[in-house]
Amino acid sequence: MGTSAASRWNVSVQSNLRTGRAHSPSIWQRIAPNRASAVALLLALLVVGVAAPPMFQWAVLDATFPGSARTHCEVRGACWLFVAERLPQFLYGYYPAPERWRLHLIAAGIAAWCAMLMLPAFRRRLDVAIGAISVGLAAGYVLAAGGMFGLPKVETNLWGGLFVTLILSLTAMVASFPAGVALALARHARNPILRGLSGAFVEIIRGVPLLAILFLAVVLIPLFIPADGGIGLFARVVVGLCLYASAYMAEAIRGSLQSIPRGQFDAAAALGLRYWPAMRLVILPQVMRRAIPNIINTFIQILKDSTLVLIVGVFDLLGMVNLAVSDPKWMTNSTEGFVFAGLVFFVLCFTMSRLSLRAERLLSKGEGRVP
Amino acid sequence: MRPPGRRALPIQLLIYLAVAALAVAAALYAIEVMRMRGIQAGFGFLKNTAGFEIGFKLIRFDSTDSYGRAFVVALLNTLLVSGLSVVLGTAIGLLVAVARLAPIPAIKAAATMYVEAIRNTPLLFQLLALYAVSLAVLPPPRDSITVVGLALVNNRGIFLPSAGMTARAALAAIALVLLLAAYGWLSRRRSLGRPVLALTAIIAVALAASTLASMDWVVPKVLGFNVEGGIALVPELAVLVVALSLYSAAFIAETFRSGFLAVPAGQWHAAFALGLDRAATIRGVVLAQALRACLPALASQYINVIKASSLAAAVGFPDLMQVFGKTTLNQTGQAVEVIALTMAVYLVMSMTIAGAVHGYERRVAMER
Repeated sequence: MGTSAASRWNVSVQSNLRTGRAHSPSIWQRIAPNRASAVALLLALLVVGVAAPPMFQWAVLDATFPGSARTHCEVRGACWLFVAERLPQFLYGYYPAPERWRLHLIAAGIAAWCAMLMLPAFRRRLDVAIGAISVGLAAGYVLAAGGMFGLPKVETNLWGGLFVTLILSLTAMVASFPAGVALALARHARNPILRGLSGAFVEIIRGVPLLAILFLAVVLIPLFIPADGGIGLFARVVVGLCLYASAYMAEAIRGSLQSIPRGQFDAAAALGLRYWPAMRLVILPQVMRRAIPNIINTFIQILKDSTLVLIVGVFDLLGMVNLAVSDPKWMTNSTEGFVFAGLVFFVLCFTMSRLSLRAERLLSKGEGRVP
Repeated sequence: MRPPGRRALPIQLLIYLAVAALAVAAALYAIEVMRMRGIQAGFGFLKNTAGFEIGFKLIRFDSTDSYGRAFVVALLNTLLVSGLSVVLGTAIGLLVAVARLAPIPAIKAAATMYVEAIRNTPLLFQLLALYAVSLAVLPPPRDSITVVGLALVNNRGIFLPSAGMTARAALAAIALVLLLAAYGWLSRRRSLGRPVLALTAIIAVALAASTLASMDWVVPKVLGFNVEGGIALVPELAVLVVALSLYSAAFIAETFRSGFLAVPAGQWHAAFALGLDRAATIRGVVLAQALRACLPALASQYINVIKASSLAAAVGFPDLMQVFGKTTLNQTGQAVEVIALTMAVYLVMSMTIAGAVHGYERRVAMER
C-alpha cells in the first residue's frame, strides 16, 4: 500500500476542485451517502443488535447439538438433536436403511450430470444433456423401485423426504422440456386445430391451482384408465406435476419464440429448409438461448410447488418435516424442523436464481452482436 | 419453411381421429365405472343435504343445508381470503418496492433480503411454518392475551368485539353520512373556510362517537376452556391471510419495481426540478405511470393469489378446495362433476381478471 487512503482522498478532492467533477465515493460515502442513510443504518444496526443476541442464544448457546452426548434437550434452547434424529426420514422418508445406497447412487448420478454440464464440450449440446438426464432418471426410478435385477422391491409409499422432492421436481422439469417445446410450437402453428388444442391446454392448466390438477390426477386417472390399482398414488402425482410443469414451460418457451424476428423464419425458408429442419437448425437454438432465464425461473417454481404433493399424501421433504413436528414428542420443536426445511429449499432455489441471473447477463452481453 | 404438403393431410386427419377415439373410449369407460359404483352422474347432487358443518362462514350454514349452499359458502371464503391477501399484499409490496429503490443502502438491503428470503422458499413451507410456530407460541384460551381489554388472542384464534346495530346508532350513523355528504357537496361549489371545517369536524367526531357508543357491543370473554361472544377469526384464516400477503408482497414488490424502473429518468428529474421532494414525486408523478406499466404483471400476480388461496386445504381452512375438492368429493364420489366445477370456478376468476386488464390496456392504448 504505497498511497494511503487519506492521500488518495486528497488527490481525489484536489482533482475534484480542479475539474469540478464528482470524485469516486469513499467506503463511508457508499454505505451512508446522506444523513437519512446514516439514521437508517443506525436503526438497522439497532434492530440487528436487539434481535440477533436472543436468536444466537437460542440457536447456538442454549441449543442441544447431536454431538453433546445428551439424549434430552434443554427446554430453553434449540433442539438440533431432533433434526439429527429425524435426518434419515427428512432425507429418505421410510426407505429401508439397508437399501439407501441406491438413493446415494442416484444422487451421485445427478451430481455427475451437473458436473458434465460444466464441461465446455457438453455445454452447447442441450439435446445430449436432456437425453442423458432422461435415461438417467428412468434408470433411477428402476433402481429406487427395485423388483428387478435381484434388487428387493421398495414400494413407493415408503419413498419420502428430500429424495422425493428432488426426483419429483427433476422428473417434472425433464418431462416438461419436450412437452413445453411441442406445446409452444403447436400454439405458434398455422393449423387452427393444433393451435386451439394447445392454447386451451396451456390456459386451462395455468388458470387453475396446482392443487386442483393434483386432485384431478389422483382422483380421475383411476376412473379413466382401465387398470385395477395399476397406477399408484406416486405415479398419478407425477403425471399431475408433469402436466402442470409442461403448461408453464410452454409459456416460458413461447415468450422467446415470439421474440424471434420474422426474418429468421423467412431466411430458413429461403435456404429451402422444410418445417422441422428449419426449427431444429435455425429457430429452436435461438429460442432456447433466449429462454434460459425464464426456463430456470420455471424450474424454481416447479421445485417450490412440488411441496404441494404433501396435501394429497405423498411425503416430500416438507411433508416429512410437517409429519415429524406433529409427533407429540417433538411438538415444541417445530421451529427447528422448519428452519432445516427452509434452509434446504432456500439453498436449492437461491442457487438456481443466481444461475438464472448469470444466464441473463451473459445473454444480454451476446445479444445484438454480429458474428 | 414450406407450408405442410398435401401428403400430410391424411396423416393429420388420422391423428385427430385417433385422439378423438381415445377420448370417447376413456369417457365411455368412466361412465361404466361410475355406473358400477352406483354413482348418479350429473349435477343433481347439489340439491342433496350436505350433512357436514363448515367451521368458518360468512353466511348462515348448517349441516341440513345443501351441497349447493356449501359451494356458495366455500366460494365466499375463497373470495374473502383472496381479497384480504390482495389488499394487504399490494400495500406491503408497494412499501417494499419503494424501499428497494430508496437511495439508502440499509433500507435497500433489508428490502432485498426480504424479497430473496420469500421468493426462494415454497409458499406452503411458509404457511405450515407460520401455522405450527404460531400455534406453539400462542397461549390456550385460559391464558389469552388481552388487547386493550377488548380483543383476545389465543391459539383458538383472534376474538374481536362484535357490534350489534341499534336504532339510536343507526340514526347517528345516518346523520353522520348526511353531514359529510352535505359538506362535500357545498365545499365543491365554493370554499367554506376554516371555521366551518372545524365545526363540521367536531360534529362529525361527536356523531361517530355516539354511533359507536350506542351500538350493542359484546366483548369476548373467557369462560372455562372457551371464549364466549364477539367475532371469532379462526387461526387458520389469520395464518392463511398473513402468509399469502407476505408471499405475494415479495412478487408484487418486484412487479412494482420493474414498473418504477420503466418510468424514464427524465420524469424524476423534471419533478425534482419543479421542487417536489421524493415522496411527492412518487405520489404525484411516478406512481401513476409505473402502475400503468406494471398493470398486466400485477394482474397475473393477483391471479396467482387467488390460485394460491387453495392452499387453505393444507391448514384446514374451509375454502373452495377444502370444502368442495376434498369433503364434498369424498362424500358424494362425484369426482368428475366436483373437479370440473371447482376448476371452472378458478378458471372463471382467472379469466375475468385477465380479461378486465386486457380491456383496460386496450382502452389506455387507444387514448395514447
